Amino acid sequence: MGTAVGVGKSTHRRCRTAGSTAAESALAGLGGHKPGLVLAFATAGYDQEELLRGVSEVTGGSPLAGCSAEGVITHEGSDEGSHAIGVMALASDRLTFDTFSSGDVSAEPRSCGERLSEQLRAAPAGGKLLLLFADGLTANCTELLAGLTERLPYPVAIVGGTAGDLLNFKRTYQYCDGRVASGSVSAVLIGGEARPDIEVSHGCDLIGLEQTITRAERGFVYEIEGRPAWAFFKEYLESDAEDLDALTVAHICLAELLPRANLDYGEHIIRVPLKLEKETGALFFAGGLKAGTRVHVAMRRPERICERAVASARRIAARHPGEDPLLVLQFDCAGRGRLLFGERTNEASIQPVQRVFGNGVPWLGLHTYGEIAPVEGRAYFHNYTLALCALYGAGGS
Amino acid sequence: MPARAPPPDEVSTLIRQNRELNEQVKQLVRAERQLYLSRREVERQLGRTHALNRFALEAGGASEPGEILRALSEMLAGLFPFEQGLGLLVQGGRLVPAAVFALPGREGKGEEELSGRAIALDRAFADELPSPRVLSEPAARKELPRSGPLLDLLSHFFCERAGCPVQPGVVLWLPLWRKPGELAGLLLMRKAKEETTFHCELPADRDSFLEVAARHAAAAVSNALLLDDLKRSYGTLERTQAELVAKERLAAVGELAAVMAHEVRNPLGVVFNSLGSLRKLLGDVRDGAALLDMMEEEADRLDRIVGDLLDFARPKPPNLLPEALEPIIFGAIETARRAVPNRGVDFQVEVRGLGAVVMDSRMIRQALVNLLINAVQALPRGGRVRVLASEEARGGEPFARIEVSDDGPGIPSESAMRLFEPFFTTKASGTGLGLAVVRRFVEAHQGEVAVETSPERGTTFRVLIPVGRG
Ligand SMILES: Nc1ncnc2c1ncn2[C@@H]1O[C@H](COP(=O)(O)OP(=O)(O)O)[C@@H](O)[C@H]1O
Ligand SMILES: [Mg+2]
Repeated sequence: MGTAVGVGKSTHRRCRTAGSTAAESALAGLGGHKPGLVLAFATAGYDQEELLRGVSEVTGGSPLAGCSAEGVITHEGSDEGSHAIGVMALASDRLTFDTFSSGDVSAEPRSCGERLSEQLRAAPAGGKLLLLFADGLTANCTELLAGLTERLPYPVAIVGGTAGDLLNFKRTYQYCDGRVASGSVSAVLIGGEARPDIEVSHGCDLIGLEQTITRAERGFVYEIEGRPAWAFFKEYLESDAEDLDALTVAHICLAELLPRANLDYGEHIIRVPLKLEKETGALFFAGGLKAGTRVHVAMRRPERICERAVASARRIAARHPGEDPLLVLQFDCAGRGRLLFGERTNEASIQPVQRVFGNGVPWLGLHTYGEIAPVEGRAYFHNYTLALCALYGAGGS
Repeated sequence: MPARAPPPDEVSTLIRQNRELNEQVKQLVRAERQLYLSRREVERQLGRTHALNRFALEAGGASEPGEILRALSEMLAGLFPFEQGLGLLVQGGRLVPAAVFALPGREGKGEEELSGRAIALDRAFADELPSPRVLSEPAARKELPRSGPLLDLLSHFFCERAGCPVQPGVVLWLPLWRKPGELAGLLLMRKAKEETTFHCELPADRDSFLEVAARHAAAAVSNALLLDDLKRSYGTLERTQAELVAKERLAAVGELAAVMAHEVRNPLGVVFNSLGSLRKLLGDVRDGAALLDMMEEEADRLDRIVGDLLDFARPKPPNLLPEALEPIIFGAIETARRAVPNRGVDFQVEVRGLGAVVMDSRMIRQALVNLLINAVQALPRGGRVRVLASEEARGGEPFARIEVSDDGPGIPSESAMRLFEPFFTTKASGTGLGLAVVRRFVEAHQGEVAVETSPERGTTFRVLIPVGRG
């Protein structure tokens, strides 16, 4: 049979109906085969448990992974409404699917990652691609990735994103084998005749001088250049800003120098603060900035975001001439959707990327609070970034 | 390149310049942020203006106030996180439900649940609500003390549904003021949960955009109502006039008919009597009997014409009593059989599950006789006439449906349009009153009569009258 992939979406307001409707449309693309893997991304207006019950009603016992999202992306475009769910179903005799999960990523990100790598070791060999969906508010993902990659049993491409909650920054959800959890990581290992190709891009420009993180701990940055982090940030905002709201998060960020630059990607990786600890003025970065790290203040450039996204898609396509991917997964920062492009999001930043692959390629994506993708062969946590993962089959060419 | 340390004063200038540059960058970032925020606001306002324009266009084209309220709900659900809408119109001092709106998955009960659920509108309620308000349901009960019945209606319609837990939501109260002191309607928009999302916020209380939208809607609703009134009164005028003319004409015909009946029926009585006597006198003198038959037939016809004319021109109110249809059908067939000489016409009757029907049996019988006579007359070389009676529901009411069909040649379309006109006939000795009487009698029962005809399948007349029990 090869590999069949279907995608479905629903915006129905009743949780169960939405889940089952989206799943039904996804399954319609499988020609009657039972799915070996079901991926779901949904916005947080839904009661997540009820929603997954609706999905499972249709997909039965098939492994289910995914997370809550700030928005859902399909060929219909990006939907950041309170009620939207996208489901992708895969059936294949060429690919293998294994799902894992690991809890407690908030308190113990490193050991959470180590536990994941142990699970990889236990899984049947031949894993090629590891998808990660982590808590978007509490996880120090740099630590998580460190724990995971330190002793990987075999080389595997890692891509993914962190869960969102409609920019309310209250609580995010991970779908761990059909269960709904918070403070967790949901993971999928795809093996067999899978050839993943991943590209990553951002559209931020460095501004001003290089600055040094002078005090940081467990993802919290307390001081930059000897000054409280929040006070440092506020100098770039209005002086009376009281909290770190979505509009602020979207405005400025920090850029950290990569140990090894990549010609296409650039030299810096982007770091965005997610939370303000009001008592201390510390800012939490899921990218886990450490004391001594040298950073630049950076600002997004809408035109550059679009240009670079399309260029990254073209690089993937160019490496596989005459070949269509089995599917594309898109992990796109929540700050690069409606927040930045408003009503023009689809025309400006989504459709141009999709057009590179054509409308026939099954496509599912989400707006994330952070993205996970490799640069120069090493997995990084990013912010304000697009990670595109095209999955190719055994190779018709 | 060999690094050479710059002289100390150059270093301090460089540091100063750097610091200044950094300050400028900060200012730039702040300015960019202002720009971004104002662009966002402009985009938001633009979106609202577009939506308002679209709504105004739609409302202008709408002929029905309910349509306007639905369009308004739709617009507001597109801009704000509302999921359900209930539009009410002020009519005769009451708020009458006129439109419902719901996003998929947030539907309420069926719209028929709203009919008859008008709510008395006291002045004080209108005073409570001079401008749009956004209130949680519990807060509304406190701040708009007279809103109770409306909240009850809203939760009855949208919430109390099997499997849908009643969660307190948020309600937009949008009064549609035509002008100060003159309320045209009220729109309630509801959102199931109180929390909102970043991209789609609840409007502020007394939002001026909402006020503008409401004024638009109030004007459109008033216009539509005015137009509707105008159309209705025009229609009524037209109808009464037509009725008046018909009545007058009928009265004249009726008088004529009465005179004629008197003038014709008296001599006819004499003719019938004499015929009886002659028959006895003549015994079976050959040819005489045939002549007598002929005279009697003609006299019968005369009598029928007078009868038809009287039926048509002098309608009496029906004398309604519950009765079974079946014997009436058989009686009518007997009469029709006797009235028209027929060769080889086969009658079939089928009555399916029909109890007593409240009717004036004389009228219904006469109507059936007229239809049957026409059917037989359409079959000069024989054929089949079927009578089929059954029960049928119409708008939830039981109706008796009686069909009289023949497999005759059908009715050409130029005649078909005029069938029920009095005095329309294609027969040499027809009165053209048979079907006019049928219609009159059926309508006296609040029923209706229709015809279906084709050269291949013959002709079927279908009579529907309410069963009228209970
Ligand atoms: N069953 C029928 N088949 C064909 N024509 C019919 C039938 N019933 C009525 N018509 C047509 O309708 C006309 C009007 O019928 P009616 O009002 O009963 O008057 P009349 O029978 O006196 O002509 C008839 O002349 C005839 O042309
Ligand atoms: Mg007739």
